Amino acid sequence: MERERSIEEIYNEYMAEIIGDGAENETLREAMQRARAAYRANLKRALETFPESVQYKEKARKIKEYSIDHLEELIERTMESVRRNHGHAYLAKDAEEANRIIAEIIGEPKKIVVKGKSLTTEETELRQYLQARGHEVWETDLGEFLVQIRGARPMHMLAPSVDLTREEAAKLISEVTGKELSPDSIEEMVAAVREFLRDKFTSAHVGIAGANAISADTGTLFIIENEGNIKLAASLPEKFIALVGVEKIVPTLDDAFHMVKTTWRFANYMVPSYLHMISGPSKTGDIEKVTTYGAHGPREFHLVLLDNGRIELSKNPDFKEILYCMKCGACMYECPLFWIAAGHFGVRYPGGIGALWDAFIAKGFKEAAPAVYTCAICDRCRVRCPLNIDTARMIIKLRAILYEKGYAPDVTKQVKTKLFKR
Amino acid sequence: MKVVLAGRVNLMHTGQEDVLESIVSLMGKLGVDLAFIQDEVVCMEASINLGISDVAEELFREFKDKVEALKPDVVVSAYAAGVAKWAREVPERYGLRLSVPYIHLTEFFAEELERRKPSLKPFPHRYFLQHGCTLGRKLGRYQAAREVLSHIPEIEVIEEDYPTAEIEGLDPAVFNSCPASWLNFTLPELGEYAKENYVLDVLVPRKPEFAGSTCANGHYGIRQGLEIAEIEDIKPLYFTQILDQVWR
Ligand code: SF4
Repeated sequence: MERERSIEEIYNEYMAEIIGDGAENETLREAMQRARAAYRANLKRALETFPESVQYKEKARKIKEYSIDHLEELIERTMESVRRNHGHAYLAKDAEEANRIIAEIIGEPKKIVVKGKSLTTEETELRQYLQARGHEVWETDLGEFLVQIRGARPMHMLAPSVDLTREEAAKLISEVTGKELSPDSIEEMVAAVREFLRDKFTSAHVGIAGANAISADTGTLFIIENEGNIKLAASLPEKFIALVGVEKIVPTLDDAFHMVKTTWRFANYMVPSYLHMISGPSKTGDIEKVTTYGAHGPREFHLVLLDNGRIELSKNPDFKEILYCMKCGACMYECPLFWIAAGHFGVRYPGGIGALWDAFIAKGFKEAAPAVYTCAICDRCRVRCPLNIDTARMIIKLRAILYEKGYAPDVTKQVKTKLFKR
Repeated sequence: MKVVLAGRVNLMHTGQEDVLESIVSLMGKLGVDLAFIQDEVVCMEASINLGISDVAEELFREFKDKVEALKPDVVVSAYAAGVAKWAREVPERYGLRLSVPYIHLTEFFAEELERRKPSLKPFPHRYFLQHGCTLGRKLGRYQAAREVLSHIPEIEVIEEDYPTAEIEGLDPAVFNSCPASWLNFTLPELGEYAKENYVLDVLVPRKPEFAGSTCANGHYGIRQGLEIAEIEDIKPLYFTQILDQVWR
């Protein structure tokens, strides 16, 4: 069993990483500058083209407020809908249980698994869990593929390799594909990865992805993507498994569509290349109208819903707003700490809202404490957030709990004696 | 008129005596009776923002007693945190309310300038104005600082733009970048990088001669950032320092 780290060890390790790999890394700062400029330019173009998107925010907030207030009821309804659609639905109480369920669905012996980008699978460390059981697991989103081959962790919610420059990417892809790639051609890099992964897709037994929203009434997953990797992962293998946090559930198909269009617009897209709606296994009724499962797509469809503290959090009036987050990543482009440290600001989830997710969901108060005290409480994320999530307010509230537990940084602990003379 | 200046000790503690002197000098020019809080606690608002909640209520209670004993007409501060805390959090959390208005210095001077309409000397320089996060974004108060500066002849005020503000129907200042001054109270060694980055990313490309925040905490961050980034051709200047220079 792992030894519990002291708060000093946690701070020392965190500070060494956020300063060493983050703040002192000039390449990262440059990559972040480029990413921010691109984000703003793209968002401007998207909002100019679709000015009505500005109005999406209010309705999206209302949908989330309702959904989080009725979470347990919606979970039940979703599971019923999925089963009605001849899918399998599970509610995993924590990360360990979710991983175990998925490993059981995959079965023995060693299988090839192709994965789409999913923060929830990062939360449960699913890839590492399956690899430890001998499965060959491939991240197929380009950014996430780069994360996998360099043994790192995602640095942004939607752009996991946002910290990489093209020069670094070319070097990494050259190493893994054995091709000599120039940083001048991102197109060649993309083609090399496409060729490398094509084999994995066609031989994979299992496809895994997350989802951006689920409609409880129909049990439909909505998945936004641009690369087409999820299209393949959700179509070619025999089994498709989705691991999704329960907070992604909303009441209806219309609500789910509203949430995904808000997500992609504020994630700076005009429109994504693909929006998948998956409600069950592939099927056909073409012979005598007899529904038969396992046509061209997967024969099995499994939805693993992850609780991991979300249900309890949905009942906490001070912090339930954390669950409204759609993981669009917009706020990160405007965070002064993210600018210098990318996802090194955070543990499992990045940024200020990520610090809250780490504290309540992914890592616990103690491990998340340094990230909670990294936030500059500047409130800029709230104005960029399409849901107006008040991260700074919750950070301040959470600090009172952390301070009480002795998890504040030394400088903060000294304020009381040095400044307040108490 | 009797005015209490809150946050005097914060200015001294952070080496911003030049800002304090300009405030005192201006109050003298206005002929107001300026009073200070006895044994004022440095940065007491940090008690809430940092989570030091075991002493927060006591600090705010003491502040109220000391301020009210001075019987001022108004409490002013160069810092935004006090204004914000007394506007919402303190009444909500502790049921405490000040019996006098507590406003930000930009608001105080905006009113005084409007009322007195003094003839000010020109200030022919490019001045970068940052709207402090708490006063601007959190309280939505931007206009007072703009009004104050608009009274000064020949000043060229530069503000940060934001490409989607107009489409979103928002004041661009709502997106003002932050020099991360609050990190001085938590992880200052990390804060240094954020401040330096603010200066290099936000200030330097806009080529101002002077720069300042509406909030003295943000202003301190800008000062520190300029020092860390070793930028000498942009000078930190708080708005009261400009006003004091141009007031005849
Ligand atoms: S907090 Fe808001 S802006 Fe940030 S990722 Fe979540 S939904 Fe997007």
